[in-house]
Amino acid sequence: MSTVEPLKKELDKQTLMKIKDALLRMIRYHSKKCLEGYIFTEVEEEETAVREIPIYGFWLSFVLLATDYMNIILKTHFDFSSILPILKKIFNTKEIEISQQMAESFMNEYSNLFGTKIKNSIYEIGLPAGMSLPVLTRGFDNYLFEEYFKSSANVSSSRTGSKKRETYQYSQVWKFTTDETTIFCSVEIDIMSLPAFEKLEPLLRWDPKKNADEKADKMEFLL
Amino acid sequence: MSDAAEQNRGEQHIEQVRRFHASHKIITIITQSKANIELLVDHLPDLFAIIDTNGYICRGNYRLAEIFGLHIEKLLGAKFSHLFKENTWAIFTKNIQKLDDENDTIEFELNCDANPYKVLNVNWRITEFRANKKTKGMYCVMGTDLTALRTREKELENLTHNLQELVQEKTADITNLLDSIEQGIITINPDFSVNEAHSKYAELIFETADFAGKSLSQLFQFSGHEQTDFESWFKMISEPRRLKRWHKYLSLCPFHEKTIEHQNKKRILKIEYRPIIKNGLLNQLMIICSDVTEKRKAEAKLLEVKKQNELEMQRVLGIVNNRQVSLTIFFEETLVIAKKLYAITDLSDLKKHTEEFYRLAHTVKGNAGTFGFEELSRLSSELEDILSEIINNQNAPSLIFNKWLISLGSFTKELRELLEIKDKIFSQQSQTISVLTEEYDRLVIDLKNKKIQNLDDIYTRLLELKKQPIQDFCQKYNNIIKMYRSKLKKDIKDLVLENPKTLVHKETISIMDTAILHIIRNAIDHGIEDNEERENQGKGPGVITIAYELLDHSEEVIISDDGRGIDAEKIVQKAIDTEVIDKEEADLLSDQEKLELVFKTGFTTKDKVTSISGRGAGLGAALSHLEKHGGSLKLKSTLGKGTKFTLTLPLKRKKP
Repeated sequence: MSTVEPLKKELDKQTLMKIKDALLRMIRYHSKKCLEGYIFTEVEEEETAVREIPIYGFWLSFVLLATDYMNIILKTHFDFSSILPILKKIFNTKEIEISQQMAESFMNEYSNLFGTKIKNSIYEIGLPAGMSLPVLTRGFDNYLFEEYFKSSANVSSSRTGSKKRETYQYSQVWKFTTDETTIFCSVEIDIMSLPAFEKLEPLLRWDPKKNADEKADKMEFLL
Repeated sequence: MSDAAEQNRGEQHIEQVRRFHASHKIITIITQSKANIELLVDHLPDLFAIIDTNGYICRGNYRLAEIFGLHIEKLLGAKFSHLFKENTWAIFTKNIQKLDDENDTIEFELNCDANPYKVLNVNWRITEFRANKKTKGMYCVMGTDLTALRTREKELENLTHNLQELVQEKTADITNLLDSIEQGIITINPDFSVNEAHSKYAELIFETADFAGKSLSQLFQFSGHEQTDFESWFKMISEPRRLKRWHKYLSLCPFHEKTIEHQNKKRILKIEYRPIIKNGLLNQLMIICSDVTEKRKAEAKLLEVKKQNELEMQRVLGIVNNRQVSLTIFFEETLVIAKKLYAITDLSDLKKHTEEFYRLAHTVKGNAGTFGFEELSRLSSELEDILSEIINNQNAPSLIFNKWLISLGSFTKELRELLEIKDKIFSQQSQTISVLTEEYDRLVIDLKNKKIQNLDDIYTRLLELKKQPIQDFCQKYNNIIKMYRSKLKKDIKDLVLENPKTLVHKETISIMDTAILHIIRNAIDHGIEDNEERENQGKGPGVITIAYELLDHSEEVIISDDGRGIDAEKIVQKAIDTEVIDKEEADLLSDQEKLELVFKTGFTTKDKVTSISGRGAGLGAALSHLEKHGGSLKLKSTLGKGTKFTLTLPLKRKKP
């Protein structure tokens, strides 16, 4: 495995930012499409500023995607009370009959589907990635136990041993609004090697329309 | 992509999946465990929050959400300061600033007072929260809601306060009540010190308002031995086993009444005691004093009046219940004696007549008792005592003469009282003589039939008329039996008269009267045995009999009893012991002479003088009186069978 080299040698800053933006766009695209696929309604997507306390919901469902030189944590933040309107639609039942467990199950499934879509997209450009099962935890863990998240994500790259690595971190938060329901999504990307970014270059040519025709049978779940 | 590259990528993928598989299991387990803990924290009964330095809530629980009035999901990101008013929050943050390396936990009590309608008393415990480097400077806040506790404390405080007020009120009521009671109430401790608490009346009784530290001895003015007696009693009743039988041992208290004196003013205090018991031990003794000075005075006065009334009644009854003739003789004789006693002017003169006066006083005592004049009898006995004292102690001080004069004064005063009553009662009655109708008719017929012809016969027959049935004279003797048998608790029958209708000249009875009285009294006192003794001997109730016999030249009154009889040897021994005779003389005496020693003045077989008999003056005096009229007195006695006295008077009297 080659060592990390300065980005400037291989890629200029502008290209780097473009690749990053393309990656984020791809992620946000899948998150929106997956949600719309569930509720059969268009949702409004909006950029959200990072809060002083990055707690966007009482609950947090997340999946980890890991390649050799890049980790991606996909998080879905929600309050049980605020997703009730869409759950009503999805389960076609009365609000009172929707339990916490049903809500959790849905959000985990959403995270799983959303993660799988991204995993497949990355796979398509030649980066095989591992994906965890979705994990449901408390929203405040996002803030209080940030290190824990990071260490979990780094499991995939433990082969690098104790060598000090220079990482590039990107994060973004956005929210979906529909029918009085608000769901926050966030992503944290750690890029630990230039080759990873080099490999992500095809994302600059990634076409959402083409992706929309992909078959679902390419999704893979970890058990 | 070449096949080799494709295969390589597939292998990489499989490798990643394997690694993810392993790590994911760990994450799942950790997450699940953490979720359980989170759930516990959510439902903690205390307020729980993690706040950052800006006061934003990063973690809260249901209890906190309830106080905020928010859904728990909405709690995140809220400002913790919203629980407090501005100034209270300043106190809260100031407390947080005390956290440093040495104090990683602080604890203080501060109200959540943002909602004025629901202020909570909370005990806060704050610890610095260090989940990771980034979270350094956050705080874990745990608040225990003490509102209910404080409310209960407040209620308890109010209740205590109310109780105190109630107690004070009731105490004041009781104090007022106690102060209005005319009883001095104090309490003493086991060391006999007096406590400060006391009733108002106690101040009046003991003439002090300062009781604390005083001793009981000071208050009650105990003498040395009184104090010792009281302390002994107090120590005795302090023992728990005796305390249980308080009422029994209360009667042993040496002071139920005590006289104290302040500035020459005496108070008689009636004292009651009440134990104050704590844990089964005598903690204090309550002493309740009532001033009974006036009551005692009134009682004494009442007693005096009652005594006077009883005395007056005795006098009247004595006069009413006795025959006028007998009374006249009694008063005449007693007045003569009183004059003789009054004629004495000094002690030396008195000493010369001691023996004679002694007999006279004794006679009056007996006669007065017979008529029921108990006071006169008592005063005679008093004179007798003084004379006895002079006889036994020839060097009696001159003071005894004053005593004599005082007693004599009382004696004559009583005699005068009796005479006045007698005069009042009998003043309306004319001087009459009672004559038996049949005797009178017989005399008239005899005169008419000239059966009586000379004046001597008429005189003799007229004198005969003055005779009356012996039963008329013997009532008073029966009275004596009735009176003394109840006093001595001896079972004695009423006086038995043989031939009660037999006529007797009243002069005969008058001369024999003193002797009869003495003999009957002796029979009751000495002759008749005690009930138990008589019962052991198979005897019934005692019997005293009087019989009268008219002989040719004399007349006899025979008085007999069925008592123990007279032990001649005992009489002799007693006579020797009391130096009435000496041993040599005694040896020469016949049995009859030995018996007749009882007629010697000063002789008595009784070791103890009683109001009935026993000084030894009686029989001697009786015999002396009879002999003056030419009479005699004889006695026969059989041990265990009884005694018989025969009083004889010649028909032709010798003038004394």
